[in-house]
Amino acid sequence: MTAPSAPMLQVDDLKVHFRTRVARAPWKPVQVVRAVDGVSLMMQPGETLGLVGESGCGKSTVARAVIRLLQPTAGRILFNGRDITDLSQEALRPIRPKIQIVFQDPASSLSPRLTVDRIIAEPMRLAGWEKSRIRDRTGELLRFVGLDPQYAYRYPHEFSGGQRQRIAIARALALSPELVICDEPVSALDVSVQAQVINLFKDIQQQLGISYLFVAHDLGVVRQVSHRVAVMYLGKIVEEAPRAALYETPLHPYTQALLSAVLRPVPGAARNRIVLEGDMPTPIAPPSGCRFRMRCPLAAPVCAEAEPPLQEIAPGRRVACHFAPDATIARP
Amino acid sequence: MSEAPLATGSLPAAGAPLLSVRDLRLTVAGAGRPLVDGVSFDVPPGGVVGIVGESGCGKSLTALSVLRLTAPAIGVSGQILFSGEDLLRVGAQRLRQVRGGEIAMVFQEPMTSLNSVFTVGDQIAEAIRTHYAVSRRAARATAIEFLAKVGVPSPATRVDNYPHQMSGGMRQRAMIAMALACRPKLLIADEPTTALDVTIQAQILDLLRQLRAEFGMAVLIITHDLGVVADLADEVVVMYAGRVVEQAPVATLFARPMHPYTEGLLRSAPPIDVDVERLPTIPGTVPAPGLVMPGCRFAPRCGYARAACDQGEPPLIPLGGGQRAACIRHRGYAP
Repeated sequence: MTAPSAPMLQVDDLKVHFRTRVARAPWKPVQVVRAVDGVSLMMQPGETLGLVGESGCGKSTVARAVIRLLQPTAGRILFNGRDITDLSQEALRPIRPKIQIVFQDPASSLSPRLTVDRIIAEPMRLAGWEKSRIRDRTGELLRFVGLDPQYAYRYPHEFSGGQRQRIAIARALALSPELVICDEPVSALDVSVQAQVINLFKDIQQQLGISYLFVAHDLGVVRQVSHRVAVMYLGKIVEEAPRAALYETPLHPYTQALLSAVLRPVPGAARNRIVLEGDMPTPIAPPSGCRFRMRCPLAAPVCAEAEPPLQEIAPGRRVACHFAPDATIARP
Repeated sequence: MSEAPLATGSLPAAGAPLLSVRDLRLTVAGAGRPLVDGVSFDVPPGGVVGIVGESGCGKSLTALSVLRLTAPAIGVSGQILFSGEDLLRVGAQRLRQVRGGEIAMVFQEPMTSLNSVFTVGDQIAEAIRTHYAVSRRAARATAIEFLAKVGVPSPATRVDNYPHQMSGGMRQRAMIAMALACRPKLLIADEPTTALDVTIQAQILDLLRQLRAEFGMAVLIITHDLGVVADLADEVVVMYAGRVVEQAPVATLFARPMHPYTEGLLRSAPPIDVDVERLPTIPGTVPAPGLVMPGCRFAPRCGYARAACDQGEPPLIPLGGGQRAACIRHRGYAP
């Protein structure tokens, strides 16, 4: 893949494996959960990459490894050209302000014992800012995310879910990051509030030019915030494309099934959806060959024998299927 | 099952609703306004009614109160007429027959509603033996039969699984098998697919549709997801801050929402088939649960609101075709 400009974030063949023991059976061998098993990504400045997939596909693990909350088992993470994969926590400190994260549930990511101004000031305090500068910046950030600065001395529990997520966003923006990792940031919010927060994310990007790695399971949400979208299944990316291309002409059978399963608020609209059989297999023992073949209506013998590589079949379009671009599941 | 059920309920008269909730009011001492405030709706035999609304609107409390499962601190008034019998006034023994027998319930999180120390088969069999005088062996056979019906693969093996040995989708199927095993006339499903992934959600909704056709049972589905309602329901009840704000047949509601809240809810869901520069939003937030409001509870967030909207609770105004909306705009803002 040739990049138009230097990538801000480059992830090469990232693997995150967890070693687990069977509960209450210490004599059984250690099992390896291959949560992320060879993921490569590239992000440009000012861009939003949506990362979608169902629970257990490894999308949140990718997000957490990129910000080094989890240590990668293999692969490389380059931020602005610098390899940060094996940097010590101490060596990471100057880079941390540039990569921030917003989590799903603001009720657990905001300390209930701190007032909002202290929560937002924390990153600036750690960066050694002066008190007066922190105070000015806190007020500015609160206004920026649509909260009244007079609420600065309240506690998180005094706010609604949507307002709390605005506080978490203000904290993430405090040190002017270049990349914000968003891990299901609107999933816990009601529809009417969700739309407000999605618009806020877009406004912030327009004004500050920051990039988002936006992890979510809701395909409607991802479409509305992303420039490009990558679909994950069982620890791997199965398809990646500019958003309109992905939603309008999905090439991987899994993407097709996933999009057709989304319920549209139109009575009777979803009657001809593709219903996949079974569940996602366990990442402890992924199937041989293509990982989706157990549920794929188009699976053929070759799918069990060889793992389809993620190939670029058009500019910016990558898909991992032996039959792409001609793999189309017939609608019932 | 060939054995006659122990539970006996009179059949409703032709055209009469199977379930009729009348002026349901749930109150907590000391709280400002009722949690559920004068909610009425009907579920016809074999029909599917969806209650939609956002967190805190009272939709789940409404569902729980049908089987009198709300916390003791909550005062309940009104009527819950099931085949004409008021469930709020029946004795403990009759209530036990109804719960799980004539009305079954499926909850959002199957992991917390299944008991983790009994096998799935034991739990389904227990439900059967509570309502029918059958042997353990027959109950187990019925459990396997229903696990097969809901699409659990190798049901004869899975019947001996503990809940943790199953995936989320499979646990939800087991919950549904348990609910159906006594052939209820009404299934109450409270956010049955919310904890599930989209591909599994599609499987469960298809299953509910197919089972409804096969058993002719009525379904009351509670959800925040307009897509689920559009997919499954015949009739929709929209709740906001404890009250019904709109009621309509499903096609009418989605084609022509008449309450500003319904309209806002439909517009603000992020669409999957078009790119939108800015999503339409509903400004503000839901009023705090304790706040007493003399007029329309949606007025502070409503683009159509006028002074008259704060003058008293808007009644549900009939708009033809079975549609009703609690918005005085449809009467020219006359109170």
